[in-house]
Amino acid sequence: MSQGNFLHLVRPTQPGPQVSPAPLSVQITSVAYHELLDTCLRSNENENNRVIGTLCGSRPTDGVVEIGHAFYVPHYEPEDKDEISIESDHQKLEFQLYKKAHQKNVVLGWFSTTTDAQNDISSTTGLIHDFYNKVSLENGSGALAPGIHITLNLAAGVPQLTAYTASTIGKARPGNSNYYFTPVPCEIVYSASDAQALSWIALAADQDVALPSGDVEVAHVNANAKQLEALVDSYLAYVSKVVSGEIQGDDKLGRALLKELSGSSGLDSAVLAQKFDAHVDDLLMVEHLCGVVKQQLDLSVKLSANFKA
Amino acid sequence: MASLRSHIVVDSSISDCVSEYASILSSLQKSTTVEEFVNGDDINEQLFPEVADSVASLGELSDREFEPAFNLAIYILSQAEDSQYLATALTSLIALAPTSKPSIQDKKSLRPTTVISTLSNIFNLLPETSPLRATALKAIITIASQNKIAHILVPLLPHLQNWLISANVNAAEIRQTVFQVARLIEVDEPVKALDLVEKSVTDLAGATVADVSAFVTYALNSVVVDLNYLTSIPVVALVQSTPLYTTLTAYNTGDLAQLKAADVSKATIAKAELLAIAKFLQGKDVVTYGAIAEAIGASADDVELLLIKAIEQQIVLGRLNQATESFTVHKVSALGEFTTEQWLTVQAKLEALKQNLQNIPEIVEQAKKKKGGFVTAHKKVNQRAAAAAAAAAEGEATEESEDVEKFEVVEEVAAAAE
Repeated sequence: MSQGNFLHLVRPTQPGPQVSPAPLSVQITSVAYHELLDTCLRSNENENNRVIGTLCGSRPTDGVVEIGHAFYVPHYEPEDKDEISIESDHQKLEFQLYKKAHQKNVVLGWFSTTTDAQNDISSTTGLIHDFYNKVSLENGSGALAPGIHITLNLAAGVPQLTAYTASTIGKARPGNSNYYFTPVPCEIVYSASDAQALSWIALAADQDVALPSGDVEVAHVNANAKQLEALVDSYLAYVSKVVSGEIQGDDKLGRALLKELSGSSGLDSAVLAQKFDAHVDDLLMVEHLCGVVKQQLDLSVKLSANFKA
Repeated sequence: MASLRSHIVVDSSISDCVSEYASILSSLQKSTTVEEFVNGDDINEQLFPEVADSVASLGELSDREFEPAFNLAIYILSQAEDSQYLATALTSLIALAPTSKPSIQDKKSLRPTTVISTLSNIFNLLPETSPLRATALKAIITIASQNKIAHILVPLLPHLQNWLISANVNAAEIRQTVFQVARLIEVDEPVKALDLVEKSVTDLAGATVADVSAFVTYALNSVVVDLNYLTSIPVVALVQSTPLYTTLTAYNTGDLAQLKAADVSKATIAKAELLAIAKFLQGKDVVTYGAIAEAIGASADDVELLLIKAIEQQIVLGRLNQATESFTVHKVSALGEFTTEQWLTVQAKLEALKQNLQNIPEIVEQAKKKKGGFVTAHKKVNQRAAAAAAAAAEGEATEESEDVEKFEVVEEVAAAAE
C-alpha cells in the first residue's frame, strides 16, 4: 500500500478503548468511489464552498477501513464565521435506511470536497470531525478505529483523494474540536468485473461504444485474451533481442518470467478444452435433471387432478 | 495527490491553548508560569522555553492522556519562529520512551506505540530538510528495537533512505541506520531487508571496502538463497581481491568443500546446500535421495530434510516419496547465472503461451456450440416427453407407446450429448 511523504506506523491515541495500535489504511470500494464522485458534481450547485457527507462500511479489521458507501449530508457554513450547522436528522435517517440493508455496517467517518490546492483541511474541519466522532462512538465503530476523514480535492480538475486520521489536541472534554490530522494510506479497490465495466465506460469517453451483441461474458474473455496476447508479444520482442545478443538481458526479469511460466500449464489448449467440456457436461447434466424433475412434477399434478376428478 | 502532510486544526485562541496546557500541568501538581507570557493573541517569546522545559513532566500522565497533551505542547511550540524549542521537546519525548513494553493490565504506563505515534506527529509536521526529522526517525527505530516491535517499521522501508538524505544526514550515518533497520526486520521481511542494504551501498556515494564487505557478509548470512546477482553489482568489485569475494564465488558456484573450509556461518552452508540441490534438480523428473546426497556431498539421511527446507523456501516444488526414497520434481526456481539457454526456454514458453491464448476464442466457441446444440435437442425431447406424460395422465397412451416414447427420449439426449 502506497505511503507518500508522511509517516504512519501506529494509529494515534483515540477516545474509548484502544483495540490495537496497528496502523490504519483506507480502502474505498468502486461503488463508494462512484458515490464520492457524484457528490463532486453537486459542489457547484451547493451554496457552501464544499459538500460533506458520511462514510459507511464494515467494521474495521487489522487496521483496514473499507468504505463501502458514501452519502451526502446537507449543511450550512457561513463564509464569514467559523461555525457550521449540519442536518444531523438527515444523516441519521439516511444511515438508518442504509443500515436496514447492511445491518452489520457502521459509520466510519466523513468526507468533504475542497478546492484549495494547498490546504484541504479548513478551520471548521475539526468541528465536523468532532460531530462524526460522536456518531461513530454512538454506533460502536469508534471503539474499533478512530474516525476517518477523506478529502476530495477538486482544484486539479480530476478529484484527488486523501485520507486522514486524527488525534485530539489537549484534554479530552465535550466540545473539544482541536485535532491533529495525519494522512493515512488510501487506495481504491475494485473487482475484476468492476474493472471490466469501467474499461467499457472509459472507452465511451472518446467514442460511441455499444456493448457486444450476444454473450457479453464471452466477448470479455476474448478481449482479455487479446490484451494478454499483446503483453506476451512485448515480452517476446524483448526476449528475442536478448537471445540474438542485441541487448543484455535482465537476469531478474528472466528468472521471474521462467518461474511464472513454469506454472502456466492451466492455459494449455488441450487442458483448457477438457476443462470447458467438463464444465459444459456438468451444466447440461444439471439442466437435464431439472427437466426430468419438472416433468415428474407436471405428471404428478395431472395424475392428482385426474384422481380427484 | 493533494498535499500529503499533517494539519493542526485548533478552534481555540492561543491564550486558551496555553491556559489548557497550564491546567494539564497543574493536574500533575507542577507549578507553571506559562499563562503569564500570553495576553490575548500577544505571545511573549519566553513562553516557548517554558513550555519546552515542561514537556518532560507530561510523562506522568496516563497513556491515553499523553498524546493529546503532547500534541497541545507541539502546537504551542509550532508558533515559535525558532525550531530549537521543538528540538528540546523532542529530546524530552525520546527520554520518556519506555525501554520495555508494559503489561496488558497496566493501563496507566506510557506505551512505546504512544511515543512512536507522538514522534510521528512531530516528524510529519517538520519540513523535509529539517535535521530533527532524522532525530525523530532514529528515535523511532531505537524504541521499536528496545521494545521488540520492529515489525511496525516495515512501512518505513521504501522511504527511509530518501528521508534521511533529505534531512542532510551523511552517507556513512545513513548506511549505519539502514543496516540497523535491516537487522531488525530481516526475520519478517528478509528480501526487503537485503534490498534496503543493497540500495544503501549502491545508491549512496562513497561506499568503502568495509561497507561493501558488510553488505556481502549480510547477504551471505541472510535467508535469501540466490546471490549470483551480487557479482554483477559494480560496487562489489571493491572487494574482488579479498577472501570474502572468493567465499561469495564458492557459494555461487556451489563449491561446498571450499565453503566449509572458509570461515562462514552454518546458515550460509545450509543455503549453499539448497542452492546445490536446486542446480542438481534442474531438468530432472524423478531423483532418488541417494543421487541427491552424492551430488551435493551430504548424508542420505539429511536429504529429506534439505528437500523440505528447499520447498519451504520456494526453491523447488515437487513430491517426496518416503517409500521409494525419491523426489518427483514439478518446478525448480532458476538460480545462479541466467544463461542464453534459459532465455531460449523463456522464449519457447512465451511462444507456447501465445499459441494457447490464440486458441481460447475457438475453444470457447466450440463449448458454446456444444451447449447450444444440446439445449435445442433437449427442449424438443422435453416437449415430447411432456406431451407423452400428459397423454399418460389422461389414460390415452398404452404401455407400448410409453415405452416407445421413453426409448426415443433417451436416444435423442444421447445423440445430443455426442
